[in-house]
Amino acid sequence: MSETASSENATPRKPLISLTQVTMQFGSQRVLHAINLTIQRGQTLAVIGESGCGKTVLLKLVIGLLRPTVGRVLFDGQHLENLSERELTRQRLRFGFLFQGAALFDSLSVFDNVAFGLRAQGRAAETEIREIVRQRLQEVGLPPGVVVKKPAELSGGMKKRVGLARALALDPEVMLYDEPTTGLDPIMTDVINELILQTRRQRPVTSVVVTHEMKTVTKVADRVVMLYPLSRLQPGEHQILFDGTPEQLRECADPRVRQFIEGEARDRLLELARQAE
Amino acid sequence: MATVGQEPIRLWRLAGRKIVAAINELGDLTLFGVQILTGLRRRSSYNTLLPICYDVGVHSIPVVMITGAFIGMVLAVQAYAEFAHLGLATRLGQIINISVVRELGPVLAAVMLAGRVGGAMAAELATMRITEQIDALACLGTNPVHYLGTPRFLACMLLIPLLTVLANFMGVLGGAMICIEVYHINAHYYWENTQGFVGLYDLLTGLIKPTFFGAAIAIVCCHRGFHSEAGAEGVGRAATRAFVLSFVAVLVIDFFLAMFLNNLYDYLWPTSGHAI
Repeated sequence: MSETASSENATPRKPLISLTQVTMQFGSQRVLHAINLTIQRGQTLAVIGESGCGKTVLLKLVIGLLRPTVGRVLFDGQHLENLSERELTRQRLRFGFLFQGAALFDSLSVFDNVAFGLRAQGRAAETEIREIVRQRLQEVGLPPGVVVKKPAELSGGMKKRVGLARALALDPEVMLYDEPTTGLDPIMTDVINELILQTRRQRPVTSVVVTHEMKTVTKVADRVVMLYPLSRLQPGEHQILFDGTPEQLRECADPRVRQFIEGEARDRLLELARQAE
Repeated sequence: MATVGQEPIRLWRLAGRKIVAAINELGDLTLFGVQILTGLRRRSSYNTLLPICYDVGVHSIPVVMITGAFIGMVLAVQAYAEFAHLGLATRLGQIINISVVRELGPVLAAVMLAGRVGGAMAAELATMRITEQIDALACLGTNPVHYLGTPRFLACMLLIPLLTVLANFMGVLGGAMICIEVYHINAHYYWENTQGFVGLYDLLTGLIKPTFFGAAIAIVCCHRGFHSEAGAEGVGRAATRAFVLSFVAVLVIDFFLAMFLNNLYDYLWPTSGHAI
């Protein structure tokens, strides 16, 4: 039986982001089923779960990169799936997205990557853009000399920080982080965690962080949602196994949640061996 | 357990699914082409035009010149024996040059460019797809099709005709070199007969076709890149399918354009009798 504990401090405010009965299917493969989720303005929500349970798909639905097969996604009261491409592009500019691999543009320098959104919007003169890029790179702890480098010349941690600077350049209201610390060493992981906290302190952002790292969850999130792979659910069970604070997550008695947060294989190894036969 | 009678039904169902999938893909390709065309109105579509033109145009010159030269040379080698046997060796220029200018130059140059330019485009865009760079463009308020597809479409449409002219020129030169220097055909009669046979309309035909070929190569290859599957295998498959589909598109477009242009010629100058 799933255990869901709602936050005791729920407010009646209208949510900034709302997913209602959202189902996402690619061909014959269903990834998300009947997801109901609301995110309040200013919240930092961590979405955790096993690989392949639909966390990244959820992020892309929130920003309108994917349209749900069934259901509605609302952002600030607007149905994203009803918007024209032009309107959707305007709404997307209110988001910043840090992709799992940073998704830097290979053919552009670091400077051109961070300046890309500003130039595309034509909001600022080139001198102003230069200053904004310098400030963003400074905020993420990168030296000025990095601006001329191409993404291929950067380490994984540097790429993530450039990606973060690029996402923040347009002063977004919502920050989406797709496994921001995956592939990084423990020190760089904590650097990224600190940058996420710093972003929250410096700006009134709402954040959604998809992560496997329990340390990231504990450090940055004020609410945690755990998704479970559809293929492993019993009939009638909900895909969101847990919804509550990090403290409540630590006390959660659901064995599936405990297995994930404690990082134990248990019966999974046997299952995988049986599947391989 | 399937009975004997159910097997044909299963095959029909499979065939039906394949046909529906092909029609879906054609529809998707058409919509993608329309999106590319709407990008022509946007200033941002022209930001990367020059570097792409350099890559499509300048880097293709050597391979296009080699292709053109060898088309002309092989035509000369293959046709000489028959023409010499009939005592019509001096007429060889007519056949070589009309073939190169109207058909072989445009088609073979387009096929070469579908492989070189189209395959590279599809692979580059597929890599951008699987590394989420295309999603990143969308998140930064830029329409990825307009930013990536439209300049490639323009570059192919503008430059493939020019590259075809170069291929034709090299084909004519290559054929002439073999005929005059190797087979010792009289140069004066070789060029005089060519001049009398290859007209302005033939040259125009050789420019109109590559424009359509370039458009088709760009749309097909960009579409394949945008819809790549994950992983290195997906990128490879995207590049391969891009080449194969654009090759087929070039052949189909060539057939219909040949019919249309021949009929147009007969409509404008009715004495020739080419119409089908």
